[in-house]
Amino acid sequence: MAIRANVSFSQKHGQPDFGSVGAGCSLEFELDTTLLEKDSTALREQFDLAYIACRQAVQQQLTPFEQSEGVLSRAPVHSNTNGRKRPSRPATQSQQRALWAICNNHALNLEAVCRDEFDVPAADCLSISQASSLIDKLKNENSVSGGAR
Amino acid sequence: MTIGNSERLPVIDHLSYSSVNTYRQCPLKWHFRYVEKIPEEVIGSALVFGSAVHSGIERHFQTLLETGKASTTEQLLEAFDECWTSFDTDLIKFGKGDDTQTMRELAKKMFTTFQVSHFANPKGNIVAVEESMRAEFVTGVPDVLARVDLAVQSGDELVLTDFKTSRSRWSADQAQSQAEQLLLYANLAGRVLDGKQIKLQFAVVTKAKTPQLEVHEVSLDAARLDRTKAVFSRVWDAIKSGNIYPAPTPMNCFSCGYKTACQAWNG
Repeated sequence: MAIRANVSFSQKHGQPDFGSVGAGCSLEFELDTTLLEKDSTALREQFDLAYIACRQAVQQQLTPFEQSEGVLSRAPVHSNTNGRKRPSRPATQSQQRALWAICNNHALNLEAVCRDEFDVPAADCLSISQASSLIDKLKNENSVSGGAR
Repeated sequence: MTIGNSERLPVIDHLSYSSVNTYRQCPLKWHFRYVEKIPEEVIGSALVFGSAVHSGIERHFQTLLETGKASTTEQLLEAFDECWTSFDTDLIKFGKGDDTQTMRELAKKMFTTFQVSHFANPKGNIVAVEESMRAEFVTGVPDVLARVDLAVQSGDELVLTDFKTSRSRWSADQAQSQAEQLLLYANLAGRVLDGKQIKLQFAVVTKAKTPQLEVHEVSLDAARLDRTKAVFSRVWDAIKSGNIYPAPTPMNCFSCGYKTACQAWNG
């Protein structure tokens, strides 16, 4: 027997002259019922991975609008969308995957770590260099204060 | 089946180096693969092998990024096997004397060579492993989607590496002649990743009894980049114009997975 799961993620970026551009991604997939009954951590991990995949797909669609030349180049270096600041060159998918894996292995809450270390709500709000330094730090430490689940 | 006019243009969301190259080799093959999305009748073992070795290398660098430790050869072979079995193995067409087992043994030797090379332990921070990048490359042409095998940042320098498997060693000239793909990646990465200076290189490991791994640096050549942009632009013009036709050559047709569809095609 399977559980049908539905995960969706959408994001909107402000553009010059009160414009905006948005993208969304939905995933529907099936999971084994035993996960719900016996392994809630693994179930949560499946959802986390699905959200990461959706978020990355959405960001990939929105990236050209942030970095194109011309009118859009007048946009500020940090676009502020619904209170979420995103750097012009956000952490790569590989870095986000690595952060997720490290936090998962050390039973840390990635979002809490991001908030504690850089005052951002999620890994996709880190810059490439912030993500690099966070990966190095987490790899060298067994735990991060305030970041535990 | 042909794309005769603008009303019948295929929906092409993006291009890639590979798709443009396929079009240049055989427009009909491009049409079958990217427009009609016809499953291939056979898959060349070299393609499957290259993908599976890539998966092992990807596993190595992603593990290095996550743990700071290198993977074992067994772990790389595990990634190799996972990728290999993701293909429909009944469709794989092997070369003379090859089979699944001989190719796995060859992969093991290549991984061992790779693991002891300097390339396996790059200096600096790994920032991207098999990273997809999508951006405009040429105005008026769909976005280009690229997958960078490895990006390492060291100070102000960003080193982009494309990993290749090859029957024989590459010469410096050969590396330079293959530079179009890396120049395209550099152009996209310059906008997506950090790095004031971009260095481009191929890491080539040979499929020999005693594999060798060599790194070939490729120079950033603005004129060559412009030429690559012109190629993309002209290929897109040709696609828009509906220029779909078979381009038979012994090399193109020998391992082509669309022989039946090609023979049935009548324009």
